Amino acid sequence: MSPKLRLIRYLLFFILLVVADRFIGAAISKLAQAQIRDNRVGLLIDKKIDADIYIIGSSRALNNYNPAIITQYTGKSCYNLGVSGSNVNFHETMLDLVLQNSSKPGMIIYNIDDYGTLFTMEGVIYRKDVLYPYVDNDLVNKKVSHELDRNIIATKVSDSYRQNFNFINALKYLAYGREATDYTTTNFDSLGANLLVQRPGDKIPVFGRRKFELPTHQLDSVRVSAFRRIQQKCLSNNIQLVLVLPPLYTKPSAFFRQQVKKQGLPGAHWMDFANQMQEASYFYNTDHMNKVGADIFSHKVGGKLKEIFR
Amino acid sequence: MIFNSLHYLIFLPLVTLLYYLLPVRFRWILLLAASYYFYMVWEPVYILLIILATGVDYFCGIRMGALATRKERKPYMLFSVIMGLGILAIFKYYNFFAGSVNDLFTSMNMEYMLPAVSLLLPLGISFYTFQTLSYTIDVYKGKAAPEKHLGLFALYVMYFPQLVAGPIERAKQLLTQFHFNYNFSWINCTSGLRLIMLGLFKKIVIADQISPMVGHVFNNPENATSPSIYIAGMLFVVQVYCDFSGYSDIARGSSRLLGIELMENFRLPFFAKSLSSFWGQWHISLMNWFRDYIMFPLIKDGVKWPSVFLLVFLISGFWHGANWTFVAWGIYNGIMVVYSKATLKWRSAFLDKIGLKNFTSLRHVIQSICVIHIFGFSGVFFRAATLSDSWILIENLFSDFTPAIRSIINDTGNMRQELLYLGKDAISFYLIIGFIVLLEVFEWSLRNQSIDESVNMIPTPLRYIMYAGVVISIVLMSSVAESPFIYFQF
Repeated sequence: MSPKLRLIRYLLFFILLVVADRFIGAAISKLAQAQIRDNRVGLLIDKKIDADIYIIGSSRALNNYNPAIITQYTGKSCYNLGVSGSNVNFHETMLDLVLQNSSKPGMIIYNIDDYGTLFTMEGVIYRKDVLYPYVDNDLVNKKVSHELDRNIIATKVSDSYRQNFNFINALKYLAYGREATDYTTTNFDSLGANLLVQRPGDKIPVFGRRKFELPTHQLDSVRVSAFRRIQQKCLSNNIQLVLVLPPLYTKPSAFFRQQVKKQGLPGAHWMDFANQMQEASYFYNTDHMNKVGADIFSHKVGGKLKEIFR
Repeated sequence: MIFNSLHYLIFLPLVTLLYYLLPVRFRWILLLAASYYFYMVWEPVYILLIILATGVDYFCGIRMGALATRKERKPYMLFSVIMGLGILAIFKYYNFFAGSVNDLFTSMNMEYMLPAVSLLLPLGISFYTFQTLSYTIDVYKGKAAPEKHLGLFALYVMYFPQLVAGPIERAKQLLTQFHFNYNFSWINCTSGLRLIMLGLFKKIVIADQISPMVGHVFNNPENATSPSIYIAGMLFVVQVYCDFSGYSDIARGSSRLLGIELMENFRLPFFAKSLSSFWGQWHISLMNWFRDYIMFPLIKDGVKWPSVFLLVFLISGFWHGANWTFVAWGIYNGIMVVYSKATLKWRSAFLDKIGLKNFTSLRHVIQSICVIHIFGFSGVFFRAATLSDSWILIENLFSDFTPAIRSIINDTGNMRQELLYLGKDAISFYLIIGFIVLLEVFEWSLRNQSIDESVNMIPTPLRYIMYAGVVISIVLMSSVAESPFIYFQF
């Protein structure tokens, strides 16, 4: 075979590869987005959410705040972007996405997790899985690539490579359809919250008061830095930042509150409910409130926010 | 640097391009510099060990070349061998030896303790040590001429495609090739790229996907159930094969791009009809090394073949790692090979007697399945962290089979995912099994022909679609972090 013919063949193969790469990447992206239950990041990127107030945090943000009630008090639209099991670095990414895609965020309510915000805790992670389907977005791609130590240039060169974390989810969508709803983590209302109502036929949950002991008193410097950056980003963008310590069905840690307040920057508003609403009837389990508790708590938060806006 | 990294994806084309652009007389300098860089990406300081080994073996080789008789050459040979094995012993086996002695002292209520040393195991030390040993012994025996060019000899020790995990090459095979001039060849280029593609497919699409499934069972031996251990054991065989033969394919492919041919290290071992032929098709370069430098000399000295085989496999176990699990693995395989060779005629007669004489393909399949299972069982030693973990796995393998099978069938409490899919979801599990079947079907087609012959039989458009499919599979399945090859630890 002549070198010229060989080169043409290689060129054609390269074109075939590029076309296949683009087509497969696009198909995976579509299927993975259709598969995932939590599509709030997608709504944000597509600018289908554009609220005045965003609630950011982990499962306590997701389960404890009713955005509709906050809107009642403040007259401002509110959306819940809490994600179960997420850590403070992930919350920073959510804030970055809000800053990038939302036109008028006036306030961020950041829910602080007892210990988890400043200390390493098992099960509290950077929830990459929530971001994977939206990896076509540059910011998401940058964050995910950083978290996974992936080469960002390679993710830009190949669509299939960028999307490969979504491959199995795309196949799952083809086989089973959309991901099933999880009652406590992905049963979202139209404002992004997941309020936990005792379902008919459900057993009344029985739980004891949580006894929590911190395994170490050593602050996690990565989390502390992220927490401080969240504050800096809000303040430098003229966004009101409200740092909330929510009620827990456990004895609040004075040590943690002292530490977290030490990391606070001037200009942020603090709301400490850690010693309030200590009745079991407000809780779904030791760490999360039920809808009754969440509504009452949201009224309390809303009332205080009204004062801030005034 | 590892083959399955983006770093290598840039490194190899760059080296290949420069190699063919440079005048022939400078090429060895490029390859040597590239090889040093390749190794130093991992841990720069350990390059000194290789430089030391290169210097000693070069000097001893030159000296031996100047001497007429074996008797005169012997001190240099011994110096080189002791030096090579000494470095290996210190870095790889000292802590194992100290730990074992300390355990013995403790069991005898003696308080004396040998101190442990904190040393990182130099990458590829077992491979390059055996390679340089073969050079020294061959020069000593007069089977190879000593290399006078220090640069080329250093390249023989350091040649990056096979530096860290073989194939363990003989001077006659590899070193002589460095003296030739190679022009760029499209045939070599295509063939090399095919091998690299196949190697990456084996490593990324199969081995890396299986790895967490195997770990799911072997890292929790107490909780492992009979069917899980069986499945994990079988998958581990596939994992090791795809990992190591994948490495060898990439090594051979990379080298072929440069016009230099490396030996085949695996020759369809899963289709072997007996355990002894399996070991002739698995890690061929190491087994050939044992054959030439231990087995033949011992048999020549009159040692009985069963003892020789047992000794070789015991050494093979030690070669793999400083752990009693590898020793047990070596002993087990030694016993099984001796059994296999000793009962060859009896087993053949038995298969004829049960009516398989005229069903050669069925007979072949049954024999291969038996071989894979016997070898697969050795995985409980090879993969387990400790010998006690191995025993727990063996105990659990032969107990409570029925309840676990019932749990898989009924899928009670999501047990199917736990016991059958080994922690993966159903889609991932069946996808991986599909890829394994695909690979084995392809390998079956290689029984009587080379990869190039087999692939060239496919019509051109289909062939290129197949290449694209392989590349896309590699890209899609590379979502797990780049993981080092299993044999890097040896």
